[in-house]
Amino acid sequence: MAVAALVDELRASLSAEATVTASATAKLLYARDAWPRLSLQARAGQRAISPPDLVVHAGTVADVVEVVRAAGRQSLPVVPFGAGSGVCGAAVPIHGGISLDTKRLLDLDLSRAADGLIRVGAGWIGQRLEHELQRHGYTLGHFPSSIGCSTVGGYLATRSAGQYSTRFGKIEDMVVSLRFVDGQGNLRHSTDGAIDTTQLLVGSEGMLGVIVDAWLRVEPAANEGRLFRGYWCESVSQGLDAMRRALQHGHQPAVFRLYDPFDSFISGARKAQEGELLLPTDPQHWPRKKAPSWLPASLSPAELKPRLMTAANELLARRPSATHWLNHLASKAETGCLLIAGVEEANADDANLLGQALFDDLASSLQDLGPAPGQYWFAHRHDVSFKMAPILASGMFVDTMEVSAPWPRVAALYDAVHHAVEKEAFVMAHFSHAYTSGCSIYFTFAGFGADEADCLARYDRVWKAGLSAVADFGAATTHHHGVGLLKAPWLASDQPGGAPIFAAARGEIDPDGRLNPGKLWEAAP
Amino acid sequence: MTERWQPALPTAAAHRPWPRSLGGAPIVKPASLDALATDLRNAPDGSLRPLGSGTDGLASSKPDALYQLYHLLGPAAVDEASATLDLPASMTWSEAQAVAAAYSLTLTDIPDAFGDATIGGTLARAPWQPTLHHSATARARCIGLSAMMLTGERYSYKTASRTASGPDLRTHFLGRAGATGPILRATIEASREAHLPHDLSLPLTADSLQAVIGLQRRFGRALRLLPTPAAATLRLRLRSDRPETPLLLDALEGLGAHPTAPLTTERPAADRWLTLPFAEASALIEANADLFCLALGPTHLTVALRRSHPPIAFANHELIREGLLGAGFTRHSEVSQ
Repeated sequence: MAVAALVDELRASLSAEATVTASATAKLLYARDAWPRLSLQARAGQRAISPPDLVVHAGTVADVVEVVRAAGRQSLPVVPFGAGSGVCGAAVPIHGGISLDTKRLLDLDLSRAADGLIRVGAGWIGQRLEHELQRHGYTLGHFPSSIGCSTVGGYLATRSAGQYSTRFGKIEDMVVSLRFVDGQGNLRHSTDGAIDTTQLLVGSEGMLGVIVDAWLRVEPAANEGRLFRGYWCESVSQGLDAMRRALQHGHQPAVFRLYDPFDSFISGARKAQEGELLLPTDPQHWPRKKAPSWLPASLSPAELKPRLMTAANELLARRPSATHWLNHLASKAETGCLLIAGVEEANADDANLLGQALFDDLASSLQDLGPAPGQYWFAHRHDVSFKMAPILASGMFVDTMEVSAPWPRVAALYDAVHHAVEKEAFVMAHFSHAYTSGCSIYFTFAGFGADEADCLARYDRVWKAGLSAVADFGAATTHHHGVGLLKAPWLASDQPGGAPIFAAARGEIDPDGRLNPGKLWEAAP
Repeated sequence: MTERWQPALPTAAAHRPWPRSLGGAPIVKPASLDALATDLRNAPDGSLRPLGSGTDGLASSKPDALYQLYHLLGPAAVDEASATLDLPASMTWSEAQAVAAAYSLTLTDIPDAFGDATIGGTLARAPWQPTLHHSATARARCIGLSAMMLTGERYSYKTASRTASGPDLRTHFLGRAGATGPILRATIEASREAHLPHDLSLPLTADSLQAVIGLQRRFGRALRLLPTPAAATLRLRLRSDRPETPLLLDALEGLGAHPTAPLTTERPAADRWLTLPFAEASALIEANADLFCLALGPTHLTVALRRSHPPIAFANHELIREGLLGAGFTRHSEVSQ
């Protein structure tokens, strides 16, 4: 059947809330997600991998069922699509077919919220859902930096984490059960069978089912129960040790973020520019034995700004030595590290009680900087998501790599990845999503090439070097961004022997391989 | 730094009352994991099953043979900095607790009633019991897993706290009663829990449950429910080193709670469990108090019921899970739409 005929058939059979289109614009939009490589590819003049043949916005769960069945009749793949904020290429079609947008699945049942349970459609954008919940006095506690442009279905499909994961857990901890449409077009509930398949669907990136709704846990919203405190650590190791000890002592802060020296330096300088002097601005007075050698003895906030601008401009101007120079500066910036801790509880009394205990513990080994660093972070916590586009537009590449490891390996993993990547790109990191047994490292890297094609090649080399270092180190190659096309080659490192198990699950739930083919283990070498 | 720990394990294992057969099924000790892989490959599906402590008897679908692996799985390893234990599946929870105690750690939120059961056996039976808060579910506690498939191939779930590495394929082994292959090792998170916690007991009523749920929502990190061998009773353990503990003690004493001796490893006299939301749990308690509280999750309570308990119908099928504490249990369709 021609695409036009299929469009007509679906328009006739789907609900009034659904839309079906095969327009060139729609196909272009749904040919990619927010994976930076796709932007670099486009800049280099390369076409999308394989745009969808048509795009359907399902208006109801029944529409999802019908679309999957129609795709089966036409032997077309179905690629579930949330808001397209994924950064690994998981929602990118590689065999054409139907891109199935679930953003209109907006059921919301709050009737059991007092029991801590809600039922929510896969299409809810995180920010809108959180607003709605807070209006009723609840919170999901899931605050990814993409919260304004990502969906519940996407969170579940990619095993997402929010910035408060230390307190509320990852999405996998919040889900009780879910409903999905399997590859045959059957609506199923994850607890219907003899085996609870909830955690099999979570993280399946659209390959084991189109997630349509889920029961999630909620908690009372924090009204006045939010407190922050900043601390200055002499080194990454000292900060990591303080985080580990606090968590293993029973504290469960909502926010725990340790910035490496260069990221801390930038954070402090940025605030200094804005007149919020969160860190001592005279390097001689920084809580470090001595001022960094590349800084003058005294540096005013006004003097910090041009120095940083110079460093950034070197990179933006794509001077051949800029990457090396910035990494060198970063290595010299032995200025210590900024740690931000925050608690979030349902009321001020509880937050004060629990927060004070945490803050006292941290202050026993670190220098207390007061509440301002955390308050600043809270006010700007989503900004980073909007900074990539201008950098990419400038001709550079930039991306983030989130990995995780048990505590004893975290500091060495940081060094290993830094070393592996620094030849090709400037790199800095922060440590967040901390648990009693380990922690995630969030690397940010940036660089450029001689031309667009070289830029793309260098970007690929950075990822290959970085993730190979992670795999060699025995750490996990992804903490909350998912796998997609980007990380599939390293999947066997994270779950060795997983391919036949996944294939068996796929064979049972989607025997024709209809759903998002060519991803996860199917994309692994 | 990871330390290897192998004190009394071989001796303890040697002195376990391993039977030569169980329920008519012979017990096999493979010479090596390679030999096991060969046996699994050659045997019809389901004809070989792993044997834990043998405490639960046999599954209703009787295998041709049971295999025990304690001699193959190596010693326990302790990662003190991460507060995790990498344990052979054949180790019992009591033995694991002893390993943990040697490093001032404790395996919290693992049902103490399973003390004589093996780690592998427990994970193969009832792995999803929610406990106190999100990070304390058995799934969250078991942060690493090594298993062998029926094809003889090995599967590992890397120990890395949390990942986003696709679906959780541990699902293939956890709760499958060995039907998909044996669990070989598991990495379990432990806690640095204060010594001398406060153990309290109070009568189980719908009202007392509601009050405890409210306290748990406020101070879930200091309070947890212990599985109890006595019906119609709530047993709670409070950390002694948390700032909220005095508030909790006051509130619980106001509910009629009284101190109790430390928990024994006695199993509750019940053999199937339901994990159900608080509203349904309260209704169940009001209707029939002859049940045993096992675990309190953020939104769900896990209770154990006697096998003789009549079937129960609940409306919220998708929010209720059922399971078994012991083998030989015939699944009842006691949960209906």
